[in-house]
Amino acid sequence: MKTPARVRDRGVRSAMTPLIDVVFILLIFFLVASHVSRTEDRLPVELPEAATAGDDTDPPGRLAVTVDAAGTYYLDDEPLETEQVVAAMTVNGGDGASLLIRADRDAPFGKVRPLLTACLEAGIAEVDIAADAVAGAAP
Amino acid sequence: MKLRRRDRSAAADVDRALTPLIDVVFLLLIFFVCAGSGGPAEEVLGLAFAEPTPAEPETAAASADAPPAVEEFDLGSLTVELRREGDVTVAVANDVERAGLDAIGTLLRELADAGAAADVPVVIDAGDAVPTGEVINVFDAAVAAGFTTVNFATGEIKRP
Repeated sequence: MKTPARVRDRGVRSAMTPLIDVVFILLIFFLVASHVSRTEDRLPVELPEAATAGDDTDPPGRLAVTVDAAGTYYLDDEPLETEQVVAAMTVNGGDGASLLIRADRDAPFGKVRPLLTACLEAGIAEVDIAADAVAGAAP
Repeated sequence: MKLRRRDRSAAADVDRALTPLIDVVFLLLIFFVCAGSGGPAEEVLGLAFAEPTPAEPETAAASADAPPAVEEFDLGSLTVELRREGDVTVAVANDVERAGLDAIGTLLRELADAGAAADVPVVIDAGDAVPTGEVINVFDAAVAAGFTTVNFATGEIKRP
């Protein structure tokens, strides 16, 4: 009667530590995977180079608009018309709202300017322009 | 007692070997996911709309403090106009055409060296066809030179 109980006790105790190990590793895995999937969502574009660009703080709730080399707007991978982007910005505007513009370096500026104008109209006071760090030294 | 212990240890060895194996495999998985998750992180240039209409330069002020070193310009504001002509971007600074974007960068640095960076707002008036990369390069050059106010023209600009 006593022996099986002791064996069961030891079995449970010895299985606990690796269980916690594996659970923690799974937790880290899902955290990493969700972060990667969030950043991978961004459409790949050739960003302009800028020496004065700083680290991206990535504030929560920030709207990210991508403009590709042809001048097409993308909001989360979805191609949109100018009016739809402006409408999304108006909805997301207001106090503390921010916008990330990821414009291809070959995108015509005539496609970026409406975004800046729409920011003024939508009350988005903080605009970040995505850029790559300059490969060489600062100019 | 000894026999039982040996029996148990044989089974426990398999158990014990499996858990660290799974651990290590998961860790390797996470390592490769992290390592393969792409190139360098994107950086950002911050723009802050301090005033409701930042596109309108304040042209009345600041000319009194103009240093005599650069008399070529009316230092009310520096308007950098970028136009696309064919495959080339033409840069015009306060109505004076400059030889390319590098010349604009040099001009901005010279103006900053002359002490104009704090007083003179830079307005970048880029044409529709100008590639965004070149507009950002000019913006970057102005900020790097130390200009505190750099605006993008969003509509018609009233020249001084």
